[in-house]
This record gives sequence, structure tokens and C-alpha cells, in this order.
Amino acid sequence: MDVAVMLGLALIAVGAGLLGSLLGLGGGVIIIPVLTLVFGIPMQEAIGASLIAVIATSTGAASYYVDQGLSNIRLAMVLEVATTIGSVIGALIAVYTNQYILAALFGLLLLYSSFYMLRRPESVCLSPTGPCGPFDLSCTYDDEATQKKVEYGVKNLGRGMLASTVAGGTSGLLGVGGGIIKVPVMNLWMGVPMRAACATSNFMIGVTALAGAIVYYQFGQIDPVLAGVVAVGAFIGAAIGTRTSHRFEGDKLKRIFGVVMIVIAALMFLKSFGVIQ
Amino acid sequence: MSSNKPPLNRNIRFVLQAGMLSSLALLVAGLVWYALAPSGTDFTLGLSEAINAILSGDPVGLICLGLMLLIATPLLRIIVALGTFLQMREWKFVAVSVAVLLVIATAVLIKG
Repeated sequence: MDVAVMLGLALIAVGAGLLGSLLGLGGGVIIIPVLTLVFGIPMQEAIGASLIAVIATSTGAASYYVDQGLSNIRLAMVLEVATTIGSVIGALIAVYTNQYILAALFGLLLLYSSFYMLRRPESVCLSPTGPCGPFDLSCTYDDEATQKKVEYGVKNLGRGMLASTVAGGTSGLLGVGGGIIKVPVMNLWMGVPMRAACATSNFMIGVTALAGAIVYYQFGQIDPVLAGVVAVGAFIGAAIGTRTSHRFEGDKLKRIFGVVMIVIAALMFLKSFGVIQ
Repeated sequence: MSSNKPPLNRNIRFVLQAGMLSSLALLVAGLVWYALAPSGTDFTLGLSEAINAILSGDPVGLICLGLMLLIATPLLRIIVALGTFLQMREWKFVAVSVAVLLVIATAVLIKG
């Protein structure tokens, strides 16, 4: 790999890490299409590199969000039981699956993601604090925008666990963080405020991707130079994103990103049918 | 300022930052070395193979060390959370942390 390609890949990974840290995602929805469509890298290799970038985005963003008290660590750890199981199963399916089928599945994921970005309203109804099933997952954080302390409880843990298994499966199968499923589930079903849902998702995706990344590493499907370049880019992007998040208009960003993803989904479908390489 | 944070947040933040900075340093050093002296190795190496590669002048060994450290960071974060929950006698969350570790151990045992 020559230096110009390395720098180009690193720049794209900076963008992925930036958006990922702002929206609670891992950035895989950007990295995988670019690697496969622009650089012609096989799907499995792109997924392996993306899982590494997801861990980098999560590590970079979560260290800041944990310090700010925005990540609900206890909720994250409970949901991680489900996401890691899903991730291992997804990764095992992926290493034996044809890359054109993976491209088509990725296209479907992007269509769902764009629907979520363009349509889903944020739930602002906070759950009352107190136990949720066997656990008390209530949490508080200081909201910078309103200068107020936000206190919330968590509800519907069973549904959240089920959805987290699906999110984990998507992560292992398609090399994304699964935040695109976890963030709306936490916000709309479990009553977690949007900022806390994004920060908790960022915290979780590292462990979710870890389970899948280990399987890919063992199967020799990670190109070290490619993965190293995207990891460094994602670290830088996440560091910028977490420290400048208050300057971005979340809703506007989501709408632009939603439209871009529809275009990328179309390209992934063309690839899955062999129209483009 | 961080000393006012709850111990769980403080410990986890420390592990994540240490993992991020050390893996970033190894990756950047390895990639700069690779840019100056490219290598033909295009597959991941285990720990002892990576160290041998570094000693024989292959930059991919250093990149693989950085990747292994990066992958290990979320794992270390779970172990630190487990230790903190044990210290705080939050037994339900001790059980949750052990369950996550068991799933990851299963992933490690799966060989290609």
C-alpha cells in the first residue's frame, strides 16, 4: 500500500470517527462502502478493518463521555451480554458467507439507517428512576446545553436485550458498531435521553466489535496495515467529534447523512448484483 | 478534577485513555516505519510472531502489536469494571461482567 493511499484512507477514517462519535455509531457505515466501492477491497477484509475502526472510535469517544458522566455504564454492561453473543454468531456466519450476499445485506442495513436518520423523532419523555427488572439502571448527568442535572430511569429491559442481540449480530456480520439499532432502541423503547443513548452506545460498541474482531483476527481476515491506518484515522475523528459536539446541529447532520446513505445503499446493491466491482 | 468522579467512571476512563494513547503510539510508529520501509506481510501476527517480526526489521510486527493492544482495551475495561464492582460489592453487576467475559472467551477459543 503506498503512502498516498494510506493518507486517503486515514482521512476517510477521520470522517467516520467524527460522525460516529457524534451520532453514537462506530463509523462502519462509512468505512465499509468506501473500502469496497472505492478501493475494491473484498467485503470480509473491509469488515475486519471496520471492526478495528469501531473499537478505535469507541475507545476514543467513550473515554471522554465516561469522564463527563454521559455513558450509563451499568446499562451498557447489561446490554453487552446480549450484543457480544450476537456479535460472535454474526462474525461466524460472515466468514463463511459470499461477499455479494454480505454487500446486499449491508445495502439493506444502510436503507434502514437512512430511514432512521430521516424519520425517527427523538423521545424526550424520561422514565422514572428505580429498578428495571433485577437491576437499578437509573443514571444522572449534567446537561451542558440547559445547565441542568438530568435524572432518568430505564424501562423495557427485556425488549432492549433482544434488540441488542440483533445489534450485536449486525455488528459481527457486517462490521458496524450496531449503534444504528442501539441508539433508537435505548431512546424510544428504554426511555434513555438521546445524548446519554449516543454516549452509552459509543461506550458499548467497542466491546460488541471486540467479540467480532477476535473471530476475524483468528481467521486471518484483517489486513494489519489497512486496519492500522483506519484505526489511527478513527481515533483522531473521535477525539475531534467528542470535543466539538456542541457546535453541530444534530438533526441537520442526521438528515444530510440519511440522504448520503441512500446513495451508498444503491451502490452496494449494484455491487451485490455484480454491476460494479 | 477526575478524583471527584465515581470510582467506576474514574477507573474505566483511565483504562480507555491508557489503551487509546499506547495503541495509537504503536500504530503511528509502525505506520511511519512501514511508509519508510514497506513490508510484504499482509496478514495478522500473533504476539510472539509480532515481536520476532520487529526484531527482524518488519514494521508490520509493530502495527500488529498496536492492533492487539487496541483490541485488548475494551477487554481490559471489562476486567477493571469487574474489579470495581467486586470492590463495591455490587454482586449483580459482578455476574454481568463475568458473563460478558465468558462470551469473549468463547470467541477467543474459536479457531480459524
